Amino acid sequence: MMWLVLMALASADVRVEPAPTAGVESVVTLLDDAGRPRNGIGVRVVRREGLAGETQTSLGLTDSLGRVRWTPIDGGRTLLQAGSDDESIPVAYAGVPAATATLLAAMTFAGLLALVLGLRRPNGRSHRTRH
Amino acid sequence: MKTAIPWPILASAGAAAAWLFVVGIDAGGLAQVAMAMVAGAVVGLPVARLFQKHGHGDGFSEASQVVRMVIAVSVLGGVLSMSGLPKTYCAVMAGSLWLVSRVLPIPAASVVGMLAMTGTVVASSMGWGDWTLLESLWSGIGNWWSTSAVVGLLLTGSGGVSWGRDTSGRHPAMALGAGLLTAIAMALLLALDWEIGSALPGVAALVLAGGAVLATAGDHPRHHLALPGVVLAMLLALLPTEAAIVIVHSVVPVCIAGLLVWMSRRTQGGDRWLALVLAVVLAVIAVAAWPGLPESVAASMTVALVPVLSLWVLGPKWISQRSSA
Repeated sequence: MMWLVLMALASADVRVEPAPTAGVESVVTLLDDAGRPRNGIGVRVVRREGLAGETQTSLGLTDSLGRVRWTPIDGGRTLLQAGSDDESIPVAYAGVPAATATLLAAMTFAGLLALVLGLRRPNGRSHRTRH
Repeated sequence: MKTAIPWPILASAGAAAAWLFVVGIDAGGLAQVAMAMVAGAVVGLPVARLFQKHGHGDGFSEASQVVRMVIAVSVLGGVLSMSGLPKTYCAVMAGSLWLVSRVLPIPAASVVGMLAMTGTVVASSMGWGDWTLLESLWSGIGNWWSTSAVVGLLLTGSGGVSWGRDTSGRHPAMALGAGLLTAIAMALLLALDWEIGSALPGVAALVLAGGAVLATAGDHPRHHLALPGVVLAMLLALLPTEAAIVIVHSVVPVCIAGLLVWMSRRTQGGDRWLALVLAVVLAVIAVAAWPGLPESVAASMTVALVPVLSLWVLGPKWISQRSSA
């Protein structure tokens, strides 16, 4: 199916389809070197690995087809650990992360505003270089 | 070419922004920068202007101003730390709106330019697609809270030290704006480094070295005072975090205490005693903050604020002494 995006991780035996998106279910499939399903392998995901607020979620064991279902809660870089394999993969946000974008916009605007205010002369003219 | 821009303010802004990253932007994401902004805008700017207007008063009146500032910071901190996510976020937004309302009206061209610049920054960051580092973690409030608030106060304080004997109240705003923009740029660079991989130390060194060139190229009579700030900024950006924390929380207080002892020998009356008491407190702070700030928010806030208070109280006096010597 065209709308399905196949993502093969660097280990070449872990696949996530469709490409992980926050709030959308994906299927993680583990295959061995011969392409056969790996049954009974524990899979978990780590979000914000190494950062404050790190979260770890166990997805359970793979079934006889080497599959386990995963619905990412949030977007961002996520570490997928399957047995001895792990890979950092991008999880798309369902939409623009509004809180972060708003905060970034508000602070950038405030910083520019304060700088402009500081560069303005008391009579309202900007601080200019003089020769 | 002569310039009237007090470059030491920009260097101080760089140093303060680098200080913010000692605790690591990964601890709270953009929440840390927002906290610095609120503390600087709501508390720092008004108090810095007070110091600029009355910076040469007696020690007692200055101490009373400091007490009022501590009370204001404590109230602000208490409200923010006890609030949940929605209220805290509202407080940040309210602080931003308050700042905007303070400076209106401003030229329409400036507003358009600022909006365009803001949009560019946000749009370019959105284009990265899959970052997590800039996500605001208000629930992670802890040690970074006090450091972020202190950075905001340091920014406005560095602008309030009357580098250029300007009493119009513009320099604290200039320092706050430059520091915030530097912090935002460093946050974006760090996010790039963490999520995608880049040479952050090299970029930071390049930016800070550029600041050093600007500082030394200025013709301001005290432009050399920018160099310690630039050196500190480079140290904080390039040193391992553990070493930077020791410098900020222990070495810097010890250096300020030494400066205070030196100043006390040249002053009389209440100022002498104020300097000596602050020197002793700073020595205690240097020990208490080893090897890092306490876990308690209140304790870390207390420890982190003392160097700021020392800078604010004694900066103008030091400049005044140097000028009259």
